[in-house]
Amino acid sequence: MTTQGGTPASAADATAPAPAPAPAPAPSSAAPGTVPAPTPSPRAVPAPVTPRTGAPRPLPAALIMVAVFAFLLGGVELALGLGARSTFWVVALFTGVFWIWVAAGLLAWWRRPHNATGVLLVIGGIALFLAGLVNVGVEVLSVVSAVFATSPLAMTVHLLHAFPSGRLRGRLSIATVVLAWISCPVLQLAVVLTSVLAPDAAGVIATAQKGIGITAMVLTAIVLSRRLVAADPGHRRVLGPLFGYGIVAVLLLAFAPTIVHAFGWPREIGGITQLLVSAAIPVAFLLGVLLGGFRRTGDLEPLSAWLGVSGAGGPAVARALAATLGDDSLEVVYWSEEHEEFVDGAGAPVDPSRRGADRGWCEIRIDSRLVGAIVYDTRMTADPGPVRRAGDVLAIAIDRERLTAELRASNEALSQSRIRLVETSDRERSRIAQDLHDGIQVQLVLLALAAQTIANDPDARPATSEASARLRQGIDQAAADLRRLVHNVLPVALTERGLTPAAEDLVDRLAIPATLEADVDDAAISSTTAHTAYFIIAEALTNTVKHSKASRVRVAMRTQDGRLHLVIHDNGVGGASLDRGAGLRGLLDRVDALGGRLRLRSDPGHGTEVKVDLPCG
Amino acid sequence: MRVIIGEDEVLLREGLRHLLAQDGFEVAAAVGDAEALLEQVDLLTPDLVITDIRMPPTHTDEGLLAALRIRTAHPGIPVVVLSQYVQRRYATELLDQDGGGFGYLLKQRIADVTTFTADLRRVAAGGTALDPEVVSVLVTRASRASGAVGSLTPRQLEVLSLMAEGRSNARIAADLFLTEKAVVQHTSHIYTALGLPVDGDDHRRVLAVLRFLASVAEEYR
Repeated sequence: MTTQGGTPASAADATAPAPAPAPAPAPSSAAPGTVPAPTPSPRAVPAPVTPRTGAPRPLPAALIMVAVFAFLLGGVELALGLGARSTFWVVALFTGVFWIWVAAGLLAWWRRPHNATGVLLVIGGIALFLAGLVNVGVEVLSVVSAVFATSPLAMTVHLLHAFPSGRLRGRLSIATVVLAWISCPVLQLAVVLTSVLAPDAAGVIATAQKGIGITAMVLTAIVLSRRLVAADPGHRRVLGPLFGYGIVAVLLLAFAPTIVHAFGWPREIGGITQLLVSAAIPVAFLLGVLLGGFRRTGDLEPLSAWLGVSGAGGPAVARALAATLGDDSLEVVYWSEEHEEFVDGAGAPVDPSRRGADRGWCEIRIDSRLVGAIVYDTRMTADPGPVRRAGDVLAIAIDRERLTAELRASNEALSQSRIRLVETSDRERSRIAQDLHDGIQVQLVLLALAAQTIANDPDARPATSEASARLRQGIDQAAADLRRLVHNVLPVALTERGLTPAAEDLVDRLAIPATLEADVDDAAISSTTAHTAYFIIAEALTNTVKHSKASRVRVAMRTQDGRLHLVIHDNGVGGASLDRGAGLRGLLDRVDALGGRLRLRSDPGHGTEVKVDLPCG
Repeated sequence: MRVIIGEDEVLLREGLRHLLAQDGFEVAAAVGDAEALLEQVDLLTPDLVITDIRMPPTHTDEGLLAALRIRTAHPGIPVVVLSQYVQRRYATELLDQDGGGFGYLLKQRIADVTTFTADLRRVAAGGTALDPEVVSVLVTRASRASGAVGSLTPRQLEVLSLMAEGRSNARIAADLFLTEKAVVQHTSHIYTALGLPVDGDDHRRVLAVLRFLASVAEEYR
């Protein structure tokens, strides 16, 4: 957000709530390449798994300014140091260490704009710079320098306690850091002041300062060791280099002068040792960065743009958010209104109260309606602000996902209901055919039989016999009509043997030459699909006979990969259309309901081809 | 002549039993499903079996399957299959088995008692009885598929159809208002045209014609 192009002051203020999720225009937006374009780069558009994150980007202008400023300060210090030739190498050493701290700080700042560690490192660098001014031999600067002489120690302690989130955690940690700050700048100031005004008291204060300082250092070593022991392997990999070195460093920083004094070496050796140890702290920190603890965190703007353009699925959203906040352990959980509980991406319930220590919980709401929550690592992301803002961006995506899911569910329900309608209609047809078959057809046989019995009765008058025989023939005719009717409602062959024999019977009885090529496993086709296919063939053949003037028609059907493919092709005049006549048009709805496709190709003079594919199941 | 009836419709079963008894058949058993039919046939070894195609429990084609099984297990027992609807495929399946002695008729044909009982007796004697509807499909398809059948005159096609139904020369002559001599001339021309060997046995001759028609019809692609 604002930190990227902002000044150090605004960056330190990054925890303050910003008018999220609308990205605030960065003050330095004029600087080329510092602000991401409103739309993601073409590389990022085709459904990337993660938004742009670790991609190398130019340092934001403000950080460059800090770097230039630090470089100039160092230059000035060196220039002044040239005046005091005897201690120039000390000045140069201080300048070098100062630059190392600032460089590491800027790198951290850039990698993780929302984390205070980078700022602390830069401030630590400046403290070192001030502490080193004593060596340039300028009176006024020496006094200032004396006050800050031990501040780098306090800053080192502070940094070690705050790594990696940039924020202090735990009462012991906070107490230790407060002790360190009391010991260093506060008591140091007292020592400097009293050494002029009351030299007697200065000694007492200096002893107290030393005691407090050493206590803080030892406590730091203890806290870091405990944290390292308690950490899981992933975190230990990140924390290990810095904490391991930090423990050694704080002990050396605390006891180096004592050890040097004990061996009777020159005092300078103690100071130089402290300086070298201190210089290596940002190096250890850098190792932590390179080992993955400080992966570059993405900005919200690309995240939101990406969410807007790509069909981001649930896991993808969580991954994008994890990348944006630089926390691989980040999870997104969703609020299920139906069950009134949080569920993970797979639908398993999640209990917020049992998320474990160091797991932050940030609920996502849309218009006060709860939609989900982000579970994150508070050791990685101490400040809930960026998480909340990312959650605001994410809320839109989550809500869209919810709507998509609802739409999909209602769509699914709709198509299920359409299939049920088709099945119901098939059952009705089946029932009607069965009723006619079992009822009226049998009665007609018996009636005809009765009529013929009268006709054959030797006692009957010839006129009666003749009339009864005609009656029998009339009943036979009615029975034949009924047979055709029943057949049109639902052919017996379809229920008895399936699609192929039924289609064969259609082709057999067609008034024009017709052929059937069938490569179909009838047992693998559901009755709904078989019925639909049969009605399409029947309708297409009827149309061919009625309208096409064709001399031949070919029916081909085959099953492949769970789909039934039908082709009905005649050599007639063509010019048929789905818009004319209700027959195929009506069947189109059936095909659609089953998830199939029906295409009609009927160019005038080139015959008519109906192509259908249907799911077998 | 001892007959077993397989028909699930009680009214029709009783109607058939009455009709057959009137005409001098002895109804040895009348059952309502295919399983009972097979049991009774094994038990009673009748002279003729009459069965409906659709019977419990599935109401699909178990009557036909029972008929095919009876003809395989007891090649000497003729079977007449009755159905509400007739189609070429079922006729072909009956034809694919050895020998004559089978019939495939629409149920409605029962009403024409004289013709029906004559058909039954012919089948019982080793002949065939194929429904005119099926024969019509066979002949139409065969005439489209085969040049030999296609070259027959309409009159010859009529004679061919009646032959395929299983009719005797006398019956064909009566139906077509021809002399029997004219019918014999037509039939010998048909045999020559179709390239079938002349066989003294009427039933075998008819079967040869039927098989020819069915195979040609099947080949039509």
